[in-house]
Amino acid sequence: MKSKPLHKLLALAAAASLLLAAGPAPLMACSPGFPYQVFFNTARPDLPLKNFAAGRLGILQPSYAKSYLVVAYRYLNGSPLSAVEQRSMLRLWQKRLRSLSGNSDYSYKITEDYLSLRKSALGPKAKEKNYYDSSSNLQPDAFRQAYDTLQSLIKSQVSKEQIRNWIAAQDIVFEVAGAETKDATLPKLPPLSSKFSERARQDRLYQEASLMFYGGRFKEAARLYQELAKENSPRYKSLAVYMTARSLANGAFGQDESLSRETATDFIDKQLKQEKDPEMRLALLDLKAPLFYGELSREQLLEATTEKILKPGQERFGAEVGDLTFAMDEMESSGCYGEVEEEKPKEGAATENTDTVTKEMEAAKLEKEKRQWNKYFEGRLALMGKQDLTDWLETVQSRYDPYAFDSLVFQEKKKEIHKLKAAHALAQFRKDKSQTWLIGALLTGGLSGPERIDVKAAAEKLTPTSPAYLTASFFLVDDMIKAGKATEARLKLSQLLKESNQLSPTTLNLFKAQYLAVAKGESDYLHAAFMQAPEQNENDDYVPADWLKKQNLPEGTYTRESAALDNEVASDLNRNLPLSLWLKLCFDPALDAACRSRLTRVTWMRAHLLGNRSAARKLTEPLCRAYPNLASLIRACDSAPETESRYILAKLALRNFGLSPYLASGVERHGLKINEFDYYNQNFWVPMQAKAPVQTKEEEYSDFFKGENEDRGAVLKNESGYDQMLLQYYKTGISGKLSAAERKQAQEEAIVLSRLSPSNFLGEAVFDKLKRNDPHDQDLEEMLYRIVKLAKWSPRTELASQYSHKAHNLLHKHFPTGKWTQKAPYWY
Amino acid sequence: MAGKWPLLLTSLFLQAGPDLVLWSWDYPQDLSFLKNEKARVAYYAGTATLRGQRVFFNGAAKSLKIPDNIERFPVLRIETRAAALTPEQSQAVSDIAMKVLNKSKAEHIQIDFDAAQDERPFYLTLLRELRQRLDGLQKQEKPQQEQPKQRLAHSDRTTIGITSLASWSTDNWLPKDICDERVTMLFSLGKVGKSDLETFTRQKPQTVGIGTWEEAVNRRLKELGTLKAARTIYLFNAHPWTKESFDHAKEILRNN
Repeated sequence: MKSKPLHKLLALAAAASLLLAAGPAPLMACSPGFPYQVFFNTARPDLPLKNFAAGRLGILQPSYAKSYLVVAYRYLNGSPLSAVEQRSMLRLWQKRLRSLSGNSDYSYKITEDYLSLRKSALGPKAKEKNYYDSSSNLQPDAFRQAYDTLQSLIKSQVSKEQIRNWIAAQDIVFEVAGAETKDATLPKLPPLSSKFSERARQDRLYQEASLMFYGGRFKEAARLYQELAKENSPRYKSLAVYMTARSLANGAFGQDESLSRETATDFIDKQLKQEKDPEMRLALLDLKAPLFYGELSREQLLEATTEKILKPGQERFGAEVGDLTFAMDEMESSGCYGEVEEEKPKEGAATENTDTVTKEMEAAKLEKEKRQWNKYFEGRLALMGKQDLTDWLETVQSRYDPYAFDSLVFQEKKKEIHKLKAAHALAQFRKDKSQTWLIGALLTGGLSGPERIDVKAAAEKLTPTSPAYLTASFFLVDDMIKAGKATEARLKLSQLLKESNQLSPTTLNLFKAQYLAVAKGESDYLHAAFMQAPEQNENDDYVPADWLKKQNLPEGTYTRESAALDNEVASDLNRNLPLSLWLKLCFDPALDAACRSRLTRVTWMRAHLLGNRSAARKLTEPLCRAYPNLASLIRACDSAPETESRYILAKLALRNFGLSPYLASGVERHGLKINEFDYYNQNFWVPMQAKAPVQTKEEEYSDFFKGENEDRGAVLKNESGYDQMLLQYYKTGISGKLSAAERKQAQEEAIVLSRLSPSNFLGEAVFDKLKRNDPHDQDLEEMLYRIVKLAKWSPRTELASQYSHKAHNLLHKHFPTGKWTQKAPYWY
Repeated sequence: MAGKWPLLLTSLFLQAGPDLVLWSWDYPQDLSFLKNEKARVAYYAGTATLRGQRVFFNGAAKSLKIPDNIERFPVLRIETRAAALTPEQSQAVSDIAMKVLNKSKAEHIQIDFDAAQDERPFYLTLLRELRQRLDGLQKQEKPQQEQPKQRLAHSDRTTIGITSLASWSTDNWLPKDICDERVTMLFSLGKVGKSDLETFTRQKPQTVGIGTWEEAVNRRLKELGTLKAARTIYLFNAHPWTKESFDHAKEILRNN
């Protein structure tokens, strides 16, 4: 609850300008990162972001980070971004993506490149440190610069002695840069020999200047960099000018009392007058901005950045957006708006120092918290309300953080504030009838209730060329669904989906989700059910590993993953779709080949479990094509007599842990291939109950308690965005689209599947093989071993334990000295 | 009379509640609110990343404020990215651990890692190597040294703790003597079966770690008696700690 001093805040804003670091995300220590599919991006639009920067806003979401909402505001406000502004905006987002996607990977690669080159230059016997310190003082670009210099030294064929001398000096520079504390005296760099080539002196001057910079001697660093800049060397000119400016700026931020903001600003202004290169200009402007903002109050800072953002054609547009949004986020600290005063305890009342906590003390504590939050929101809304842009951002943005702790008092206050914001957005819309506040009213309050007739009318008037059109359409369709106007909604959605390739994947998926609520027949429903995610991510980065490749796609295009199902839809179809329709889906040309392969695998397994071998045989060849390594066993399984067929199926399933009769949502089994063992126990399948269990709210809160979650794939679910609306759309389900006979068939199949666990289905097949007097089958010992282990390799059940025990006894009886028997001394 | 002592001690322990340790992770952290609390702090000291043949150390750079009267010790996180896991890397990580310990002046260090199956031999080597180095140092110490505060209560030497995934409790790959304290982490469990947690809790672990935001999991742990049985509870918050979040964590543990 403590306030940050203003100069510290501004120094942070300076850091935002210079490093463009992303705001802090919750940290999840100690959990392995698994891949997951993202059907709906909620924190940002889909990649490449150049589409959004160019005005393809898609369906806007209140959960977007502020920088995206600022860009949306400009378009909604009738002031589209110029090419220069778009470029500068992409520069900000690109750096943020890099930071979120494991900036460390980027810096490690650069460091590794330099160290490898260093090693090859010094030879194999060269001494190396056994570990390398990285520090915030030492940015990856320093290694990139060192790499370039060393490479050019090698190419220019200077003497080996000169290269070694340069490396020895560079080792010292990096040592000082990585050190956590700065010594009073800096180490000396090795002397240059007179035999060295002409460039040695300039290389050394740069190293001397860098030594001063990393050692915190900014004035001396600026002097040396400037000296180098004056030499007009093509290798160092621009870099030395930039580093002079950076040294002066760093010094001006209180790190060197002999340097002032004026000195730094004057120098940067002088350079800007001559500089033509856009990247260099932006880099200098980024250094200058905090020098200016550092003099301003909070209110002035918001006013200054807002003014620049709204004035078209700003060269530094993206960085201004970065500064504004960073400052707004930093000002979320409640202490920024003042602390409430302590109320004096009544005479004779217990104080907090006493051991007993009285009801009065508890009540006083709650009262104080309420007053604190009231003060916070009053201050915050008043400050942000001074500019239309900040007012809009503050009103519209709504983020959900599953890792945050909100006290009951704060939760209540947030609900109250949410209502206030919806009312405020509506009032603003009625006041100025602008597109920005129309979207504000929709994102905060939707179209619910007759009192929003004017909002609905304005939304209906929008044409497809309006940047607000898709967002407004989403809310209009939602309103139709709620009002039971399915035909109207279907018609509207059909129009919107006509040019689906033009829509971003998230926007397309949101419309498809709405379609599920109004689809007419099963075919219509199933086509909407399979969605192509814009990306697949890993860890908690929320950025795909191939983000840079996606970012480089041409404008107007997007990438889409193979079609898959969201969690709720997968559960529904796995339970309520009859085999005949699964079979139909396997040959549906509207689905991509990878999706059809998954469907074929699942349907084939399902058909066998249901004892429908003729259905399975229809898939023999497509399945063999999808899994050529398994083709001989698949063919054998489908052509053998029934009892032998079950044994062959057991062999396939016990060796291929991902063979399941259920289609997992998103990324199945942590992204493993079907024959790969999952160390996190998603091996084989877990039978689904024939009817969906009713979950309590508490159980819904955590996947942990979901009895069936083992058969789910990984999908990012985020309670921000439109998740609650999506759940309503998904509730319709497939059953209502089926004929009575199909529904009956599906129910019967669900009951059969619910009784077939991998242990009893596969176990009986293996035991039966043994019973058929065939203990000499070469794989039987291995299969018994796998039944023993099945209980350990998948979520434990009593039934699996019973089969493990039985298989263990049979294994040791029939194959007492076998190699697989040796591996199974226990049952589980 | 003598027979009553254990009972008395037990009841005192129950009254006192478990030993609380806050994991202070890689955020700017102001823990001034702990001044009058009974808690210790395990603070993030940095990450050693093993990539290929190399080791990189990224030391904690965020601000950390802990009241003087609160005991604290460092946590070293280890991450691997296509690492060769060589003896040289093990040596490098133990060098880093020693550096972290020296800087902290604590006599306990916690090593935080997720070991995939093929990485397990490396971690066993590392932990043994670190133990040997600490024991070697111990022998050189003067006998009349002041009793340090951050050692584990039952130990008279510099101690090593590790964080342990819940699943490790059932596959027993870690020898009991590999470290002095093993914190089983009962949060971010992913999709494990309900029965796995029950199996694990039957072992009544003495030291566990919980996440403050996982209401349903924490409630289940209470029902299973896991929190009551634990003598030391580590608390992880996915945001910077505040007085409110610490109070909330205490609320989770109340009447457990």
